[in-house]
Amino acid sequence: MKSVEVRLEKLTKHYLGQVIAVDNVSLTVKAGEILALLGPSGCGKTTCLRMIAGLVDPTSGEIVVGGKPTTHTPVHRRNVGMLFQNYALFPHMTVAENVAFGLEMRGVGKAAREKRVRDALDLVQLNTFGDRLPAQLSGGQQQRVALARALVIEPSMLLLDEPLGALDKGLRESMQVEIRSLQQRLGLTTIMVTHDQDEALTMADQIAVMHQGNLEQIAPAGEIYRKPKTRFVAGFIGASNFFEATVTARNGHAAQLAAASGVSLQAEDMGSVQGDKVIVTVRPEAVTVAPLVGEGQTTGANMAVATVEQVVYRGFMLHYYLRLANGEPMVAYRQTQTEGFGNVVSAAGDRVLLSWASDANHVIQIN
Amino acid sequence: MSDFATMKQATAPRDGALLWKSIERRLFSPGILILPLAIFLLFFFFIPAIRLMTFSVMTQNAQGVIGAPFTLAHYIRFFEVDLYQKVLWSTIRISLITSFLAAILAYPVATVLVRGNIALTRIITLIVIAPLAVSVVVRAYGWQLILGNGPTGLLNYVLMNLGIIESPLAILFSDSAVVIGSLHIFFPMMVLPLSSALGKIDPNIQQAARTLGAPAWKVFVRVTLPLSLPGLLAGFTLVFSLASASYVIPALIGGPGSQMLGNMVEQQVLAVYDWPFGATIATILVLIVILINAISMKLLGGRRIKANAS
Repeated sequence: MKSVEVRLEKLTKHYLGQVIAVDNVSLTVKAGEILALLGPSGCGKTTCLRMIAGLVDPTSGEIVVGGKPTTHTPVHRRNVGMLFQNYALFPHMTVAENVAFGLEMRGVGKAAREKRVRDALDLVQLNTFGDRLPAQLSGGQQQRVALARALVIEPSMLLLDEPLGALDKGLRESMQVEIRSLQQRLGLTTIMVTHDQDEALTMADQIAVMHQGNLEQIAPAGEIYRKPKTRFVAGFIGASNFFEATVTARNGHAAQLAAASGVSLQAEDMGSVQGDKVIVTVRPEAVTVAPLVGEGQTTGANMAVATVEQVVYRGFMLHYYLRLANGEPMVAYRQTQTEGFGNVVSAAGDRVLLSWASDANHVIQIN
Repeated sequence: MSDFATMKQATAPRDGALLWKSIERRLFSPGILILPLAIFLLFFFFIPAIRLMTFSVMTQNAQGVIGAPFTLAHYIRFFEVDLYQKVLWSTIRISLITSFLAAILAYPVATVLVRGNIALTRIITLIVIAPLAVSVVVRAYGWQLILGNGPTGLLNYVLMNLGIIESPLAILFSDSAVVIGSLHIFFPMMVLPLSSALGKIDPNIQQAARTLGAPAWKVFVRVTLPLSLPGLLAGFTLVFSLASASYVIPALIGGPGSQMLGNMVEQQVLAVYDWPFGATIATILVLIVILINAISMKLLGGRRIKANAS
C-alpha cells in the first residue's frame, strides 16, 4: 500500500443556525503517520473526520489527499477505510460478505475477491469466522471484522471514529496496540478521533487538540504533554497546576516570575512567550511533598507551603490534594514506592513544603 | 397440637397477604387481561365469520332458508363464470398496483420522517395521518370532484388552463381512480411500518457502505432495502389486505370494469339475496388476504436474521 499525505487547508463547517462546528482548521498528516484529533465532545473533531471521509460537506476550505484536492469528490470515490464506534457492520451479511462488500463495489472478480477476503481475515486473525453473522461475534471481534473490511479495499487512508469507545478497558488497550502495529506494518496514513487522551498518547504520532471548533495545538505526543501551548491543552492532556504570574526579570531565555498566590517562580525557558502577564503550569508529578520543619522555614523559588486536604491512594501513585496559604488548590502525584520507603507519607491536615525543579515550570502566553 | 396452633396464628396475617398477592397475580395475568376482548371477538367476529363461511358450502332453498345439502357448487360457479374471474383479477390487480405504488412513494417519505428534523417530521406525520380523520365516503366524494371527467373536474380544469392537456382526461370511474383513491386512504399503513423499520437502521451502517465505495442507489439496494424488509412487507401486506377488501372506493369512484370482490359480495347479499354465493366470494377474499400474509411471512422467515442487530 502506498502512503499518502493528507492536508487540511482552512477547513470550516457551519451548521445552519448553530455555532461554528469546525473553524478554520489547517493541519498536515504526513504519509504513514497516525494523527489523533483529540478533544471533549462537541469540539468539532468528529465533524472534521467526517469531512475528510466525505460524509459531511465543508462550508469552506480544502482537503488535499496525496497532493490532489478531494474536497468535492463523492464519498464512494474517495477510497477511505473507515471504522465507526459501533462497528457499523452489515447485520444481514456474513463476516466474509461484509469484508467482500468494498471489493464487490470495485468490481473485483469472484476468485480474486475470495482470496483477498481470506487474506484480510487472516490479518485480523478471524480466518475461521467467515460464515458467521456479526451478531454472533463479540465486540472486539466485530471491530476486527470492521478493520478487515476497511483494509481489504487498500484505502489511501484509514479513518477511525472513536473505534474502541464501546470496548472494555483491557480489550481496548490490546486493540490499540494491534491497530497501531498493523497501521505501521502497512504504512497507512491514519486519522483517528478520540476523547481519550491515553488512547491518543498510546497510538498517535501527532496529536491535534481541538476545542470549540478550533485547533488549539498540533504536536507529537511528548511535546504536547511537556509544552502545551494553551491553558486548555495543559488542562486537557494530563493534569496541571496553574499559576497566574507576572514576569519580574528576564535573563535570556530564563525569567523570574511572581505568582498571584505569592509563590515566586523561576522559569528556564520562556520560549517565544511575550508580555509580562503569563500562566505558568507545573505537572503534578513534578511536585515533591516534604514535611514542614518549622513555620518560619524560608521558601525560595519554586517552593510553596501548603496544607494537605486529601491523600488518594491510586495503587502505584499517591495523589495529594493541597491548598496554598491564599486558598488556591494544588495537586501533587507521588510514586507510592518513593513515598513509602524512606520518605514520610503526609496525611490530611499536615502542613507541607512543596518544591519542584525550575525546568518543570512551563510558561504559557495569555492571549 | 398447641405448637401447631401458635404457628398457624403467627403466620395467619402473612397468609392473607400471600393470598391477596396470588389473587392479584392471577387477576392481572395476560390471560385475564385479554379475556374481555376475546369474548367480544368470539361473539361478534369469529362466530359470524365462521357462520358466513359455512354458508358458502350450503344450499339456499326456495324459501330462502340456508342449510343442507353441503355443496361446492358456489365455488365451481365462481371459477366457471367469466365475470367473477374478471372481478377477482381486477381486485388482485388494483390491490397489487396500489401496494407497489404505496411502497415506492412511501420510501422517500419514511426516510424524511426518520432522518429529518423534528419540525419537518411532525408536519409530514400530520399530512400522512390526516386522511385517517376523514370518513372514506367523504374522501371518495372529494376525489369525484377532483377527478371529474368533464372540463370542470378540478384536475382537468387546472391541467387545461395550464395548457398541459387539450381535452379533459377520463380518470374518474376507471381503475386509475380506484388506485388513486385507495393509495390516498391506505398510504399511512405503508409509511408507518416502513418508517419504524427505517428508524431502526443505524445511519453509520449506510455511511459505512458509502465509504466502502457504494453509490447511493447501491446503498439502498444492498443495505437499506434488505434491512427495512420487515417494515416493507408489513406495509405491503396491510395495504394489499385493506385495498382488496375495499367497497366504498370502487363503488363511488370506480367504473363498471373496476368493481371489486367487496362490491360483488354486496350485490349478491343485498340485491340478489344469494347469501351462499355472497359468502363464497367473501371467503375467497379472505383466502387471498391469508395467502398474501403467508407469502410475506415466508419471505421474512427466509431471511437469516429477523431484527437488525446493532
